Amino acid sequence: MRKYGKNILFLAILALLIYVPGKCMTSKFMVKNHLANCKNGVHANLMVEPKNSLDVLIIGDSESYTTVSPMQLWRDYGITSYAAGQPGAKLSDSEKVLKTAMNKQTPKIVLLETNNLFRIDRKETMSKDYISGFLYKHFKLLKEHNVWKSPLMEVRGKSYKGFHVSRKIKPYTGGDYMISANQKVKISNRNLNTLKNIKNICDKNGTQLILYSAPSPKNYNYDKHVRLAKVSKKMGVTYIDLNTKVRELGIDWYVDTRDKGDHLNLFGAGKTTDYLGTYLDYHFDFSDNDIDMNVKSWNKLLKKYEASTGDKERQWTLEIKNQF
Amino acid sequence: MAYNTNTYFIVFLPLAMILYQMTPKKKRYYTLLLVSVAFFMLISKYLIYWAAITTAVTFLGGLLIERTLKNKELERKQAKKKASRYVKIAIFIVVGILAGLKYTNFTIEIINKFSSSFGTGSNIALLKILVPIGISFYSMQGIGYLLDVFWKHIEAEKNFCKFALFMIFFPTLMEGPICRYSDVKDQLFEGERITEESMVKGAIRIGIGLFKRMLIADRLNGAINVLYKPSESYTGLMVMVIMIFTTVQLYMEFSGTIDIVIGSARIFHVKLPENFRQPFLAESAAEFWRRWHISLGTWFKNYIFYPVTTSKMMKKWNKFGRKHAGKYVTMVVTSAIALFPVWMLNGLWHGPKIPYIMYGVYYFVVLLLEIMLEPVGEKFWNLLQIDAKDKVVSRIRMFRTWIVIFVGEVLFRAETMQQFVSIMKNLFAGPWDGGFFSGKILELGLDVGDYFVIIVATAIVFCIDLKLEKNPNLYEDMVKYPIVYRWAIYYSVIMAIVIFGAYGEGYQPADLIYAGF
Repeated sequence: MRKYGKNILFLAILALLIYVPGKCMTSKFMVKNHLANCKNGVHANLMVEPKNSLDVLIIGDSESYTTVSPMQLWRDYGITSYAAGQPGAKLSDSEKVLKTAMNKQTPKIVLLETNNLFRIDRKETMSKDYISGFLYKHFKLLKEHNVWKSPLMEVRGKSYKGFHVSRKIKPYTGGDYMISANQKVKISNRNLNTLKNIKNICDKNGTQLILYSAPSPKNYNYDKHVRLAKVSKKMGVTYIDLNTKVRELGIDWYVDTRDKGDHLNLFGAGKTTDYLGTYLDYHFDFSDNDIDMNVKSWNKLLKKYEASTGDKERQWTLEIKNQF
Repeated sequence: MAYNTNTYFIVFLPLAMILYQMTPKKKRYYTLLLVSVAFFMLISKYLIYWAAITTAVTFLGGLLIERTLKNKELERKQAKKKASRYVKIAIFIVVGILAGLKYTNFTIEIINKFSSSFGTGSNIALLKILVPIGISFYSMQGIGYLLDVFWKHIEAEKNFCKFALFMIFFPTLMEGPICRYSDVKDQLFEGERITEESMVKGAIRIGIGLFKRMLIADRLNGAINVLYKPSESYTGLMVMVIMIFTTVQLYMEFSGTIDIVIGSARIFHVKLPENFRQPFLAESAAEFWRRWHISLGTWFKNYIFYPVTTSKMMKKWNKFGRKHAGKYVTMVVTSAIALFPVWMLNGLWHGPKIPYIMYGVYYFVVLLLEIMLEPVGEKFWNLLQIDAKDKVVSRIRMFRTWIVIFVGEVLFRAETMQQFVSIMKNLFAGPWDGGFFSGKILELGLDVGDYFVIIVATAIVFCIDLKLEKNPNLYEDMVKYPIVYRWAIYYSVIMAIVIFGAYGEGYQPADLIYAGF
């Protein structure tokens, strides 16, 4: 009997060690204590956003949150948005983010950056998926186990609704990259199905899905453009490929990229944000949004954002506004 | 369903334990067989028939060999000759299946390459061949069993179900260790009840295995995938990082999985042979191979190296050589003749890839050089008036062995020989840094936190290895520690896996590398 008691005690302590910290890890707690800076943190950050406060949701991998600055969209167009991309996100990760967001938001537009359509997303077996789902639901520590990284991730700097200010410049010097290698680009069936699911979630919530490709010589070429254009046409979704508008945007690959053409930096993001903001402003009506309650908090954050960015990108980006 | 998945730990293993415990003692091996068949079929589905054929051939072969050897109507020589024929036929079938499934397309590719380079233009289409899981492992066990019966080291098994269990026992199916029938038969068929002690001892090994895999191997996986991208341009520093990362990941992945395997079997009171014995403490490549993938090395030693060195021809050569060429030359030539098939087969065993074959050739050359240069080394230390057994010499040898291992593992991991050459060339020819530490190191999919965990966890594993060197029973002895100390270790390992393990969103666990062989 004593032996059983000992074993039960061991397991009980173990269950407590795993269960109790998870119970404390509410979205509010995590955001308040700066524990939501990791990949999964985007879920907690979205959950603390006031209900129905977002006009636009941006999802995808790192290409998404390095191309759209929500604070700039707010300042110049009065559009509230959240850059809910995750580093190295698979398309199914973006679907999960969308589901989390839709618990509290009904954005008018979901902007899905297309880079993760080409990322391998292995299908989990039913049992693995079910078990993981069960464990993550009941033992939140397992799902959020990477929180210990959060303080380290703050090195990246403060998040402005998912956007991080990066002034790093590492030029891309490879020249024109939107050329065809006459290669057939494949998007896996799993990703195509996930894309359909994303479209269905948007449709159900009265949200319009827009696909867009961030300017990135490292990740895009003309063959990918053709494939994405075909997919979006087939699905009846608008597709904006910013790689075909590099000149129009005024992207200068000597200064607008932080890592040799993989991602844009603050200066590049200013240009793409302005293009997308102008596009959204021209094609959609965001005047009926109910964000009066949050104007103060948005403006407060905007002040901090402007203090950290200066007004350089504002000068650059105002120039292309009148194109629409 | 690999050993490192939650399906295995949360569903499969507990279910296997419950079924095993519910079965009467004498019938427990049936349950283990049933569970092993289920495990096989969950991974390779209907391809189990290949395993069934190999098992049946080996089983019948063993019976025939034994019956022939015991046949009193035949003369000893005649019986041996007849039995030897059965051995050859059975091994031919087992190797035939293995080679047919694993190497047909490889052979076709080579033929096509040759024919295109000679301009004959014939192009044979590749076949769609599905290879069942663990074929290399159970085939080796089967061949070893046939030879052991032939050499009268063991008696042939008369019960087909028991023999089938030996061939496809589920913990050993994917990554070994390659077991000898005599080492595991008693425990496998004994059907001892699962006890608290067997569970705890098994769980400790599983915990250590998960620690190695999830904290280190899985965390390094993303970086390894980036580093081996064909388009990657390598700087000298990057090549060094590749060498270290590849070796560390391979060791943590393989030895971690073997820990899980040994732990799983331990729960059922089956003590599997160890496959690793602190390989990075080896002072020579030969010693490394006595510490790394021990069961494979032992298999080659028992079934290839010894038979070759003790063959009539070699005995004749030894006599002749000593008389005419001297002791040293005879020893080198004998070693070369015995080592060559061992290392060619070792390379081929790993799979139908040129780098694997070259991996075998690489170690053949290194080991032969070690044998050839041993007297020179001794003279060198004598000249410096340093004792060859001195600690400093030992560390230098260890470091030298590490370099051999690092280069070998890059060759092992490379997709093509061109990739290997391009990596190694840049160690000397390319730019040295190329901004690696000033940014590129953080573009491999690992952040500062990841590096921190990898370094600390690797240091912990290294310390455990040092302890194991002094006390090989460290894991088994852990249950004797005072309860507070013991529980503190258990909780620390579990919580380290839970918090610092690389799992969930953003992580792709490392494949069971050896499961592909």
